[in-house]
Amino acid sequence: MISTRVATVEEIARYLLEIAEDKSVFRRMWTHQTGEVAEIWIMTEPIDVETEKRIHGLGRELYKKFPNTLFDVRLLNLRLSDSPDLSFLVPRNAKLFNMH
Amino acid sequence: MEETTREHLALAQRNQRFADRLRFADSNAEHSSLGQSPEILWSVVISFYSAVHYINAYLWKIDRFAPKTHAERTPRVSQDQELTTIAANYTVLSVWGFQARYDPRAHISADDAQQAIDELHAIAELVRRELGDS
Repeated sequence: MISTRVATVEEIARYLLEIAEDKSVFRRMWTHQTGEVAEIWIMTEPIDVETEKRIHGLGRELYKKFPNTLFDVRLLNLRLSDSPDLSFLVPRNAKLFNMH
Repeated sequence: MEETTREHLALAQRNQRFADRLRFADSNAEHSSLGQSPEILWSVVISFYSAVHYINAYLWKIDRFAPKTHAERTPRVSQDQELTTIAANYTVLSVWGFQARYDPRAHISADDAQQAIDELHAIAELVRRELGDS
């Protein structure tokens, strides 16, 4: 069902987890609200560009489900870093999202 | 074509050429102590900012919309009927550019920088076609 109201960032994150076939590569997720924009931050295992683009491509499905909510999905790909943990790149007041 | 649209396109194309030159400048690059070539990192960042101007050119032409922030621009890329076809390309550039700028241990290869240029090419092709500039 399409949601005509503005969705919460947690609702969007939950739906993203429902439809993401590649969610096994999600190591951690955070939610954050910047003004009107709901941000979902995801730190992934080292993944190739095709997997990354498949995940980004879910944005289209999310906008079909939540057409009245502005959001942004931000992937942090461990393949592109020598750091073992990229959580320092996530906004300080973002909330860790329970993926289970 | 209107002046604002033309200016965004010109800047996008200039940045695209610069990103391409930096990518190939890497063979002579002095690598940082972390082993990451600054040319490669900045080639990815500039690829993203080239994409930003392609998107701005499109949004101005179609909607007279001039986004002031990434938060205003990014959702439009996913929602617009035409731009949605290159939304994944744009988002890859956006997040790679972010990691290149803010992660002191970013590790982006020459192949990644070439991939970023290829993603940008897809965006440029679509926008130029939609604007009748191809």
